[in-house]
Amino acid sequence: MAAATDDAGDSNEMIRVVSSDGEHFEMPEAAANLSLVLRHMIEDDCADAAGIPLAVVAAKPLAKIVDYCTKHAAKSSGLTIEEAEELKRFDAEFIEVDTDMLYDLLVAADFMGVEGLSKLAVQRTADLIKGKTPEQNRETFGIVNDFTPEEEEEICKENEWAFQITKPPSRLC
Amino acid sequence: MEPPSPAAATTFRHRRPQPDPDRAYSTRPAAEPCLGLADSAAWACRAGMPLAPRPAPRHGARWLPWRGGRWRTVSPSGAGWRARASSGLRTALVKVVTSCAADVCARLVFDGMPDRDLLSWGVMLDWVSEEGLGIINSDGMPCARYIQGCNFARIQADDPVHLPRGVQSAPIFRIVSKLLSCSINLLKEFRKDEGDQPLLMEPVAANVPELPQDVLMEIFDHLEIPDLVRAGSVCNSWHSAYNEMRSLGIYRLSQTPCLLYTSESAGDSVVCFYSLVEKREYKIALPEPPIRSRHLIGSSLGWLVTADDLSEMHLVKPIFNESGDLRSGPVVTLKTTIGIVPDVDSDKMYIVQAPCGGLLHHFNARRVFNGMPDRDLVAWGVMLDG
Repeated sequence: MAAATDDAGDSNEMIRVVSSDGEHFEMPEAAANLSLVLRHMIEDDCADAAGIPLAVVAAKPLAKIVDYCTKHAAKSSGLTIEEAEELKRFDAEFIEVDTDMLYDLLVAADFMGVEGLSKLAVQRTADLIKGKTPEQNRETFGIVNDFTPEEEEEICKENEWAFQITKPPSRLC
Repeated sequence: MEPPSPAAATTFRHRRPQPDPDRAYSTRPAAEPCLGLADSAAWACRAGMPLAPRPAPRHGARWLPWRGGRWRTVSPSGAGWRARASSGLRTALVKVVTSCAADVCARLVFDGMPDRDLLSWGVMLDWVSEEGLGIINSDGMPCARYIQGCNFARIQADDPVHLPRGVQSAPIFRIVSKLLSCSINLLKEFRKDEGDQPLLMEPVAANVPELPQDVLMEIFDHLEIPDLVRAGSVCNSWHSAYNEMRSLGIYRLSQTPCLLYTSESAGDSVVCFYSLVEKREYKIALPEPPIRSRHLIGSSLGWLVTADDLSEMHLVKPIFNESGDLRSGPVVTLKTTIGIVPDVDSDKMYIVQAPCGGLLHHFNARRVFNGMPDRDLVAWGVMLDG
């Protein structure tokens, strides 16, 4: 993470952040500025040696977010086409994570206000939802079906067409 | 009620569609703004202005919009119009919401249809478009930019609690949602305990990690309608996000056009639509009257306007299986109004939705009566959609 300091442009100060489980991370100020929350903290002079505590973000997703921000901050201005493509590739690889991590990233990015990462994770989640039946979605995301049978029947009935299965014909939903 | 001032009338923005004569269908952006024309009818009634009763058309003839915004009856054999209108449901109408790419896709599918039993190209799924109508709350303040047909009455009824998306995602609301969300690790622990402690599961099941509703809505924002509907039936949390999106009308994605058609094998009351994205067909059974026997006049915001041989009109929203009868002529309600009017310089008809709020009320009325030189207003109608 510290390696990117030189690329980070006008700012070379390192910002320390602390995850919910007490792990410390460092990133260049330019990277931290990608997070709305961190930027406001820095502007308000709350970024001290002890680090900014992020009570909702655990170490694992925070490491990924620091990674993401550092990469993007280093490449933020004057992108050539190659660099833009490389960044795209980085994003594509970056978001290839399991649903638990995806969930952590969604919540953390939303909490920290990292817009680019939020969009990336949201898009990825939407892609995972697409083309699946409700049951498949529950399996994918480990969601418990908390409808009562009556509720479920009513919901399925309301938009019966969406649950049609073309081949092979079987139960609705 | 006072007649609207000219100044108010000029604030109305109207953009005319530019149909491409080369095509079997025409394109235009969704929700061509014929803002709240039905309101004007309400205004006209209150102002004592007579609405011309529609004369009974000659046998087999029907009312058709004429260029210049007038209405005329045209016999089924009437030259000129026959090709476009009296072939009724077979008339191809493509409404491409926004993108040219989608337009090309639409064209490809149209060319590839084997039997051309083609009711309509329609983007019936465009709940909301970027060009959507504005919603104004009871204080006359802009409430949300987007409007969604069937939920509009609800938005009005629930006023003033409704907040537009922009306000909803303002920091304070986001913070609240964060405070309410539980610690992820804690929740994972709950899940692990599932097998060992079945007795504890009842309260725990309710605490399965859930994304904050605003994040869920952002995700759902990227889904096509069939996917969205299915996602809405995954669990309670997703369902409420889905309902929230529908009732707030904040569904923004430009939907891929769907091919809408009927076929003999599917039955008279069944409308089929072909999803380009999923490359599959959905069938929707519609309420009476049977759609196959009717002529499609136009579509807007997911609604289809149909007419029978006697020009009796009917509205239907296939996706949510809602319908409204326009046969009885003008019915004015205070919630949502829907009118159908011809565009002044084209042969299109528009379905119009608008709140009956005081502000819109005025210049809508003005707009209608300015736009119809002979006041031969035959085909507007209103309906409740609650």
